[in-house]
Amino acid sequence: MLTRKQISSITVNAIAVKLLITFPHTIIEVCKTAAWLAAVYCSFLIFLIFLATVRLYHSDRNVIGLAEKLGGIPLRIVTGMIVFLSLFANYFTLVRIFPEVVRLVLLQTTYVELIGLFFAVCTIFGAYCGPEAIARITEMLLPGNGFTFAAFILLLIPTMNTENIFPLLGSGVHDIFLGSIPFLSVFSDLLLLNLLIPYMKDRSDYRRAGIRTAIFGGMVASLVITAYCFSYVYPITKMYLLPVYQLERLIHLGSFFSRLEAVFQFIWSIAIMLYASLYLFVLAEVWRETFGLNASKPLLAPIMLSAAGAAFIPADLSAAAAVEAFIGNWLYIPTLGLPLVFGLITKMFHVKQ
Amino acid sequence: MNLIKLLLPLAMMPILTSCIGDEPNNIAYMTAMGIDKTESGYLYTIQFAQPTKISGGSDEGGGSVGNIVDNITVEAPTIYSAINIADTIISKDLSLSHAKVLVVSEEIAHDGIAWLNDVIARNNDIRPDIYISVTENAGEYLEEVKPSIELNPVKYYQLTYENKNGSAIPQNNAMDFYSSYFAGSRDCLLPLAGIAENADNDTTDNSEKKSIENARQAEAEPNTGGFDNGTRNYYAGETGKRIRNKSEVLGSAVFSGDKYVGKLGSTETELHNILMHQFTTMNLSFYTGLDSPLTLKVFEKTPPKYIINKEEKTTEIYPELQCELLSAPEEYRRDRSTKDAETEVASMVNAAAEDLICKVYKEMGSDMLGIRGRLRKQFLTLDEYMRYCQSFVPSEWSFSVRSQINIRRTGMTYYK
Amino acid sequence: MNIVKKLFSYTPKPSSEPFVLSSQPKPEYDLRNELRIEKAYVSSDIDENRAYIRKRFRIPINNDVIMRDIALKNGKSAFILFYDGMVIGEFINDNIIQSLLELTSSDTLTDSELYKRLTANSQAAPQQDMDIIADEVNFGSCALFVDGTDTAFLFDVRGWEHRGIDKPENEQSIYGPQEAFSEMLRTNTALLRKSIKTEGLIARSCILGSKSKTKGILLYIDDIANEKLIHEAMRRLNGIKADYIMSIEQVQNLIVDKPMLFTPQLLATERPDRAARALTEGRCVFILNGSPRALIMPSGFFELTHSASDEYLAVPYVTMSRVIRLIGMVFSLLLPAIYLAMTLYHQEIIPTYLLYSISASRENVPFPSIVEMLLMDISFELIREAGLRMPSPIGSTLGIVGGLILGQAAVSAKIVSPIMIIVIAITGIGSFETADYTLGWAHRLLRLAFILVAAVYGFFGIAACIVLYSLYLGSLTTFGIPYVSPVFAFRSKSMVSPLVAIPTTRRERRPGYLRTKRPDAAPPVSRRWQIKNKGE
Repeated sequence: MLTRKQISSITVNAIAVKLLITFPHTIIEVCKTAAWLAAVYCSFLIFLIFLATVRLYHSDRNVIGLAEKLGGIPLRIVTGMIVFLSLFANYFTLVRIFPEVVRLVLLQTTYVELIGLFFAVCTIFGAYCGPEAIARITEMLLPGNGFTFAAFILLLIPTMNTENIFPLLGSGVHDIFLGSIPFLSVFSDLLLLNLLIPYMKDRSDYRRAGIRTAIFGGMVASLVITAYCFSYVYPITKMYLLPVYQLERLIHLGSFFSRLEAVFQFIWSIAIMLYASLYLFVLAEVWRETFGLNASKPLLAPIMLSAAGAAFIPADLSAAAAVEAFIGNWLYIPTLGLPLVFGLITKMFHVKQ
Repeated sequence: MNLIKLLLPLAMMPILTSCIGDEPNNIAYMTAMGIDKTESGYLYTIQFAQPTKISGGSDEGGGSVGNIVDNITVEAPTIYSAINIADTIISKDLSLSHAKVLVVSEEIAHDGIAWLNDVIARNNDIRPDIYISVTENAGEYLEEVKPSIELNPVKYYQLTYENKNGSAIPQNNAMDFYSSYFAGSRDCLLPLAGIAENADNDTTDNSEKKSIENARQAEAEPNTGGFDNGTRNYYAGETGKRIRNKSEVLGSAVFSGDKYVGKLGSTETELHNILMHQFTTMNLSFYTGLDSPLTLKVFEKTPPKYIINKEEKTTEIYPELQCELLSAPEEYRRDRSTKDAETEVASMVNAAAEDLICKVYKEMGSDMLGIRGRLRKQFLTLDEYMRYCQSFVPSEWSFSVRSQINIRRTGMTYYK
Repeated sequence: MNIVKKLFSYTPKPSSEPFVLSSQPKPEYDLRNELRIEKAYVSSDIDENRAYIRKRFRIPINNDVIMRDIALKNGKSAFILFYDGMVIGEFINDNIIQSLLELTSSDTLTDSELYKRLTANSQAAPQQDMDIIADEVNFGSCALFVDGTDTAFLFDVRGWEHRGIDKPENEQSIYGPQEAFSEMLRTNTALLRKSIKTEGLIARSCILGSKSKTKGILLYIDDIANEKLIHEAMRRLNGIKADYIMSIEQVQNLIVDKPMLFTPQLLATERPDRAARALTEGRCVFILNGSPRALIMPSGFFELTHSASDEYLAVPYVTMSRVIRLIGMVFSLLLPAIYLAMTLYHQEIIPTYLLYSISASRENVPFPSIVEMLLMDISFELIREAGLRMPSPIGSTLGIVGGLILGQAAVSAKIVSPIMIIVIAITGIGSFETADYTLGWAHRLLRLAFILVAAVYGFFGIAACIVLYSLYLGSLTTFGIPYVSPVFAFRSKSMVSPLVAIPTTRRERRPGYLRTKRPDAAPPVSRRWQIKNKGE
């Protein structure tokens, strides 16, 4: 069983660290100089969406369990497959992009396949250890990661220029408030929170942990994008493939310490491997629950290998980023919509738990 | 768990391939690169450090003042081809991660250096804060870099290019140039580099102990206006030197877009730094019609305020300088007060600044003050701003400078 | 196909290990088995008892067994049995023999009156079971057999030579008590009872080792400790089946969840104050006769990093000391790997000036960095290990030799670079910072793994190994509690804090994971003198 603090730690980690590795380009392309405004708006929006979800969702089961309750096995399978495919789509891009980023930043001469293999093995091992271990360690390490992130933002202050965010409305109000909706895909890991409901001691943990996640995740998203928009001026922001890496390159402590991007990448790597382990575990659990299997651990390796296989289909990092952007355009619909829809249905039909 | 026990050692197999990275002593660290143009292509001069000379090898003791860097010049169509060839010639692998300066010749700068920015942006090895400077002959400049008071060549470049005291060098690095160019917000100035020439045309080796006098020193004209009166408006390579390091960085290269359009001397660059808030302190002398000049140590706590009227194409600039009175004529002790000095100095600064801006905007057509970037705040959407920028012509703008001088400290003696 | 099946197969672990009946070894011949057709009891005929005892204790072959006949004044005969060297002779002479000889001829006393009135020994008990009598005599008691009574009497007159209470050698502290456990069980229990003067402090005994019959005591405070914890601890202790149990470290290996794990899972302390504190937190303490250490169960990872002096210093000093200790431990584990990763893969991080120094210093060194590092690490370990076995007069010489070999000579001979010496030296100092000796060993082992991974995968490899190791530790439990506990607990009121020390005034609650019977350790206001108008 996971405590509330552990659940919030793992979900905050999931959302925050994803932003530090795979950055949503669409928000920059759509909103231009107002990307930071759109990020703040989306953070606020996700908070409202989540509040609405928890008001409607009153159940001790996750969406798959609820689907079974409402529509029996067929609905359970359908829902489970939707959840699985959504999460898998999110996951395999991570499995591709993260080793590429590691190769670009840390290990320029090592083959990306070797890095991917090592990453896969470590993730499988981490998932084998179980959600309690992952949650415990994440809870332990998250304050350190948070401190590093805070230091990262503070160190970027000298490089920020307020003129870079002007013109304030960027490409226009329509793009800020409607065009940035796909950015909500960044918060799609809130679905993990719902899927972990069976591991929560108390139903109220879902609400409280989720609110914390939405707030902290939104803060991180807003801070990262705001820092990026303040540090780099518009056309440049669109050009970079790995924005956070570019921000890290700007940091220097006096004239002695510079090029600290490897240090930051080292810390983000720890966080992202914890996230990847948890994600893999949840994927296995979703599959198990969908098809009513006994154990999920035998599924870890096959799922990871499938993800790795799918991950290396895009030819290079740019193609992988394009795939990720494409997936991000619709990922928020099932991940944020399913808990909301099921919550609404249960509320409408007054299903007693 | 059986799978883990198989896969983990498999993942560690690379250790048997001896792919275990590069030893630091198997790498040659490039400190600077110079690019010249030839008839057939480009000439790349790659300067790399000699760690054993700098740090003294594996024995104890430091390095010695001597050839702490080495240069290799190759002809190649692109930077990476040149690095390829140099890598083959030099026994060690070249690393660009500690390079501090890229020097381009004026000829290349005239043609445009946007391609160079693209190289810097794409390469994750090259630091984004690398400096780009312009010189007459890049290869010769790098050959003459012989730091006399530093053992470390990178430290020499760093201290030289990041010098904010005195500050006759613009504080713009490659990242600033790159962002300004692609954003279209301003035309960056880059440092000007040069070599002092020997006065007596002595062609023998001018190494170590021989002092030299610069043949070009007379070319630099002294300021006749009140601002920094009497100081010669040096360009790089024109100062009188009595040390063995003939290379120097002084003044700035003016760009319009990515093309080099002119240069500014040391005094003009100081004014530019005042207007762009790119200095920490500088000592300035002002001629107020008396026997001796008034010398002030100038600080600028806040950036100058710019009031821009985009319809009338006028800009008012309000720099605010805090000064320390270093020396003054006797009259200032008897008859005149510091308030008088402030007023006089302000008028001199205004006049000099307006002359400079006029020269750069009207004659060279360069938006060195970043008026385009400052106009961003006056637009709501990017499309409007981009449309306006397309019609921006620097020479159509007029400027007025209204500086405020505050002499806060008068030193150890009393002044009114 | 079978290999593939085996790779991908998964067999969930059963909740309890199934009993497997395999072929048993032939039992050893034991004389006592011949005698024990049925259980032996004390006979009222003293000659029968005497004969049995002679046979059982192999008298006179067994040289230090003393059977001393006593003729009581009332005409009865008796004999006492004890081991020479294990008893206090004066007690036997004065309290037993003397008292018995003072019986008058007319005294016809019953068995109970005999030992209650006439033997002036503080601990005496009647016993009829010969097995128990033999065990007690083996453990230093004296047995009295009297003709005409079918009860023998056991007197606790133990007094073999032992080391006194010394200062702790491995857990030194400037402040606080300077006592350490000794090898005597009773001395150790007395030291604990001296600190916790409550009848709730229960000492449950158990005998470990079928041949050594080493006595151990499990201590806990009855109204605090969780019953399930006590039950589990006793279950594990009683479940030890071995011939010889000589040391508490053996017991530790036999009762922990995963004995092959790198990191130790129980804290072994030689300080009674530390053990007493653990008891007040709700833990159990196990002490074994003949071992000068106590096992504290359960213990988490962070408890192993704490030092004895943490309880006696103010909060800022303790926090700083823990942080420094943690930094030292991190250095001992990660510094060589980080250095290797930085110099092989991430040279851009290194400041340029330093990089030139490193590059220049490595110029004439023939070995790759990883070989150089392993060479120096192994040399350091060789010297450290040799230092343990070196007699003290020449121990200091070893330090000089080691320093010369590792330092000056190696650098001058260009076998290693100077900076490698610094890295290894700092690593070595960091390993001495580790509070727990076994944890220091664990880090030394793991360091090698980190070095190998850093050589192949740089910072990424180090990060991955940190994640793997942390997750593995995170998945462990020791005596039912998680092995790692949260590090940052803001405004915590627990008695135990992993990293940042909590002021004494705020230590109000026992650790939640121990599930104690009484979670509150102190009232919210422990400094009542601060409240106005309220005095004692």
